[in-house]
Amino acid sequence: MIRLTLVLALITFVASLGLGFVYESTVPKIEEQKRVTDELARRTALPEAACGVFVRVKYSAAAGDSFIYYMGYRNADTTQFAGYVTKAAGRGYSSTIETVLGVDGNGKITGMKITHQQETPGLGSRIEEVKTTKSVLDAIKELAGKGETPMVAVDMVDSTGTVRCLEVMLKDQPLCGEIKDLVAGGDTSAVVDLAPKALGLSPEDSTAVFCSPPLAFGVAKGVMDKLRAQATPWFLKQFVSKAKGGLLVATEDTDQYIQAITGATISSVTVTESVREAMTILEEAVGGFKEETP
Amino acid sequence: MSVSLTREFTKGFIRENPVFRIVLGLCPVLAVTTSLKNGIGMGFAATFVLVGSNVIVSLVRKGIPARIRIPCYIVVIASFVTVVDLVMAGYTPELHKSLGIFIPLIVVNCIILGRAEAFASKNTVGRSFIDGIGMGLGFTFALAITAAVREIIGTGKIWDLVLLGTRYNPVLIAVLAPGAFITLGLLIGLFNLLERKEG
Repeated sequence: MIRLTLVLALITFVASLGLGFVYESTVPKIEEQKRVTDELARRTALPEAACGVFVRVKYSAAAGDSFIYYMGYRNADTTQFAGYVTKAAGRGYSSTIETVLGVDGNGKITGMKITHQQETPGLGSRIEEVKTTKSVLDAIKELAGKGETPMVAVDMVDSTGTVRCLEVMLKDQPLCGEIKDLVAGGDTSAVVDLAPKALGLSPEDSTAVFCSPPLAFGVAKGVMDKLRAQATPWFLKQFVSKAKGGLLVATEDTDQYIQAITGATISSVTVTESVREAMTILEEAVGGFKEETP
Repeated sequence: MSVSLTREFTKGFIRENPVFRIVLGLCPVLAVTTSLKNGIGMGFAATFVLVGSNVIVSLVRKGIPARIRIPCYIVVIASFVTVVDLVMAGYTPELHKSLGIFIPLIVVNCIILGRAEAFASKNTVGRSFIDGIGMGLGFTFALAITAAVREIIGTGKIWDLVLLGTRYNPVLIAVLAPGAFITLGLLIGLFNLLERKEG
């Protein structure tokens, strides 16, 4: 019996050592991923502050619970308020679903991003799915070097914010690395040429301003809206511009309402209810939104 | 010997395919094959665990008393699964998020414990390594085929690319649970048919 115990103990000890080593090696990368995910989620949820700053605020509720939210600003000196960002969490079908949501000063949702979920693959996990129209033929053309120019658009960027803004706006876009290289190399004309062309817009739709240094150029608001719409998961788009009273669960596929995904109703209802709850606490924390919500 | 090793390697693809012939490890096959990306991701994760556990079990097989061999194998398998979980979380966060709970569940995948008990505990490290790779790739192959069929029929896409055009009306049941059973049943039938024709 002692031998059996010793053998099992030895095996678990060696396994623990190995796992400890792997954990120590991967934890910085995991932490970094989490930090980047949270940062990108805040900027996606509150697009007006995509190139601005966020100030963390801790609110102590009457019940003794603390609630964290961020105040987002369009500029670095925090004089132009853009809205609030907070996190909603609720128990889904097989995991806790965490959602970062942005709310403007009037209490309307400006954007959302799911930052954590372990729902059933293909069902509940589709709440993060971005619709695509790219075909197999497009992929073959790209491989053959005959594909369309990738979409490119950035908001105002400066010498300190260049990389950050590009990462926010172009994270999921093809060839974003190439665009970064163009900007880093100072080849601004190439980047600005690509933006309207890639999005199928006329040159009048985009405006470019060059200052060197700092490097800066802007793209028309319509371009940015189009880019954001293409980068936001279809499920979450249905929350945008809704106040907490307007959050509904519909039963059919329409962009007008939140869709209850077949087989994953629990996941979608969880997101809706947790967001509504978070907005209620946020409203209390900020002392009420400026305008009445419908 | 080399012919024998080649046979050891290729047996997992068709002849002793863990899913279509031995019918093991069906939980992830049914659950994650809603998209080709998920299927291949799960296949490679399971292959890594299978190869690692086969090698370690084969290495320590003579020192492990028979009465505690199963708990020992589970500790080894669970360790490799945790490694996969941590590495995927750090380096492929999107896939990690997509596979979700099914990564930790590799621990209870019958194929892995089955190969440890039936093969690695009785064979050399080299043979166990080859067996792990062959069976793992056979498992990945089965996941990929099942996922591709379900994704194409259920969404009209493959690997996020539109395959059947915008006019195609997706048959949603293919990516739901009943679709997994129907697709798997048909594929197993197809493999049986091929086996009979060959035999």
